[in-house]
Parts: sequence; structure tokens; C-alpha cells
Amino acid sequence: MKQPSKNVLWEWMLLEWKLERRNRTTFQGFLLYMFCIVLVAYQVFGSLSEPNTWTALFWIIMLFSSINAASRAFTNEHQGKHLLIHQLIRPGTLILARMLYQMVLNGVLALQGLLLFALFMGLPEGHWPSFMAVLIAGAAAQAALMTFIAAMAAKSGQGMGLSAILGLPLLVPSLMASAKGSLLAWDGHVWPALGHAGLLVGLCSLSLALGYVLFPYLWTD
Amino acid sequence: MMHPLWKWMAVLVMAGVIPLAFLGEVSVQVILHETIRNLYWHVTMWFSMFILLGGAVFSGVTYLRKQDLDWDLKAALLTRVALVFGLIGIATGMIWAQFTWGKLWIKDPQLNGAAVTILAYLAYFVLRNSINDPRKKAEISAVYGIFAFVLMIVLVLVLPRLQPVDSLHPGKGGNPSFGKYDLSNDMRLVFYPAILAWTLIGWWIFELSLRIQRLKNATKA
Repeated sequence: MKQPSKNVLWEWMLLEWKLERRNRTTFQGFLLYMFCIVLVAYQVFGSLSEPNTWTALFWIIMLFSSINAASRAFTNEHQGKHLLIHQLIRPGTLILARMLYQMVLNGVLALQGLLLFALFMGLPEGHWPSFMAVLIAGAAAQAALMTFIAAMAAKSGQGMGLSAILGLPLLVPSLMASAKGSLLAWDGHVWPALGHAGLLVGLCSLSLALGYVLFPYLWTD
Repeated sequence: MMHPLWKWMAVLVMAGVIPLAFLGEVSVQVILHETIRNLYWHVTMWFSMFILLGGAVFSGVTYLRKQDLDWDLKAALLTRVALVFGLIGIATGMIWAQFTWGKLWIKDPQLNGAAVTILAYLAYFVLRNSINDPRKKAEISAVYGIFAFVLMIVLVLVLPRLQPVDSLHPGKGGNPSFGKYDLSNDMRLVFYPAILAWTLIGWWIFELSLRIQRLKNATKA
């Protein structure tokens, strides 16, 4: 088998993106999902600039849209394609590529969510750069974790429902750190907020490391 | 049949712990008063739970290395005993909370961590029940077990200490820890053996259910 050994990780991420683009409905589906969910929340909450409620609502919406986005990462692989991928790439590299790809995707979704919130609900006042750090780190941590959960759920053959059950409890640490970090950023406590962003980066690396070590056991049949 | 030494030890230590827990000398505190005796039941449950879960993770790792289904059975049964201990820990904690903090459940990082731990391990059993193929079940649940354990450590043991949040639990949020000066030596003399005894009793329950399950599997085959 041809093994492009140098930048497999990067090439595989590009490949994921190409596949996603070819099958346009999925990516547009995530964007639309985010749009709908924010619009629904807007119907209930109206304009919102009080930091506590804003943060809670924002991260819960991020939670669901990251579960939605990640749970599909492993589902559309029938047996033949699975075999092909198996020969092309090592499982550790595959999970890293998929996690990193989902992290980028979830980052885009987070920015989209922020724009929509700004458009509909309005934004709280606070220290922006540190909030953005928490936002990106939080989105990345959620995505890395959910990708691995999705791999387990897909292997069990139960798909999306199971990945929500497995994912929700395990997402709590990163969700708590994200929410707390955002609140600190709104209050203008720059360094504690950045500390939480660092914690989220740590959680994210923990997921990457665990995924890299454990995924080969899931992947081989 | 001669029982192993550790079973005798469990019985003897427990026989000492129970009367001492009810009648022994305790350091009476404001608010806590005599409820401090709950230390021997509530706190020891969670210590034992973590030790048993550590055993479950070890079994899971061993399964992944040796591919022997017996290790998967051990991991599942240890997790089950640990989950029961965790539930008892929550129940005893709720009783304690009712008498000291005035409510059965309060917003407290430690309680959230406990609730999420329970949810994550309930999800473990949902995951197990949703897969029919025993090999696949063993593989996926071992991987999930390791993943969940690491995240629970972060959630329960690391996060509450990092964040300057106001937990009412000792040793957090500026509250003095029991160990610092509240816990008299008399209490330590009951507390540490109680942890040992509960863990041994948990192990005993696990061993019995393992033998029952092995016999069941043998008669089925």
C-alpha cells in the first residue's frame, strides 16, 4: 500500500475536508442546526446581555451542536470503506486527524454561534480577547472528546443516541471550565480566564493522548 | 472451606469500626456536632469506590492486553460494586447535608462531580447492554472505562481544587480540611481502618458475584 509517510496527519485532514465538501449537505447541516437552535433560543429568551444566563445558554447550545457535529465523524463507513482506510493509515494517526479536523470544524461553529448570538441576543460586556481564548479552547476540548465518544458509539453500532448518553457526563468537566472561564472573562479577570483556557487546552490534550493510545483497540476488528 | 485471611480481616476490622463509629470519641464541631460520625460511612464510601474503580480500570487494561473475556467480567463487576458504593455515598451524603446545610442537595462542585460520576458509570452499563457481541462489548467498554476514569479524576479530584469556587466541602473553597486540625487521632484510628474494611467488603462482594457469574457462564456454554 502506498503510505505517504511525511504529512499523513495533515493530508488526512484535507481529505476529510474534501469528503465533507463533496457531500455538502453535512457541513451546511451543522451551520443550519446552529442557526435554528439559536433562533429557537431567541424566541424563548429574547435579547439577553446578562452574563450568567448568556454564558449558560451559549455553552449549552455549543454542547448540543458539538455532539451533533462529532457524532457523525465515524458513522458513514460501511465495511468496504473501513477496510480501505485500515490499509491506508495507522489507527492512531486516523483518530488524531479526525479529532483535529473536528476541532477546527467546532471552532468554526463556535464563531458562527457567537456571531448569531451577537446578531440576535446581543453580547455581554467584558474582556473580549480572553473570552475568545476560552471560546476556542472550549470548542476544541469538546470536539476532541466527542470525536472519541463518537468512535465508541459508532463501533457499538448504536450511533447518535448512544454518543449523547456517553458524551454528556464526560463533557461536564470541559463545559464547567468553559462556562467558568467565560464568566471570568466577562468580569474582566483576564488571567484567571486565561488560566481556564489553559485548563481546557490541557483537557483537550488529555483527550488527544487517550484517543491516540486507546483508539487502536477499538479500530481493529 | 478455609476463608482467606483478608476476609477475616475485613470482618474483624468492621466489627471494631461499627461500635467505635457510633460510640467512639469524636471531635465535636460547630454545626456538625455528632453528625461528624457520618465521616466513617459517607467519606469511606467514596474512597472505596475510587479504589474499586481503579481495580476496574486495571482489569480493563489487562483485558485489552490479553484479550481474555474473564478480565472483562472482572472490570464490569468491579464497576458495578463501585457504582453501588457511590450511590450509598451519595445517599449518606444527602442525609448529612440535610442536617448540616439544611437541604438534601445544594449547588456544590463536589456534588456535581459526584452526580456526573454516577451518570458516567450508569452510561457504562447502558453501553454494555447495547452491544451483543461479547468481544466487541468487552473492547468498547474497557476503552470507555479507562477514558471515563481519567476524566472523573480530573472532575472530582483536580477541578474543585483548582477553582476558587465556594464548595462547602472541607478542604475546598477556603474551608479547612478535616485532616488539618479537626480530625482527632481517635477519629483517624477509626477512619482509616473503615476505608480498608469497606474496600475489602466491596472486594468480597465483587469476588462472590464473579464466582456466581463464572458459574452461570459455564452452565450456559
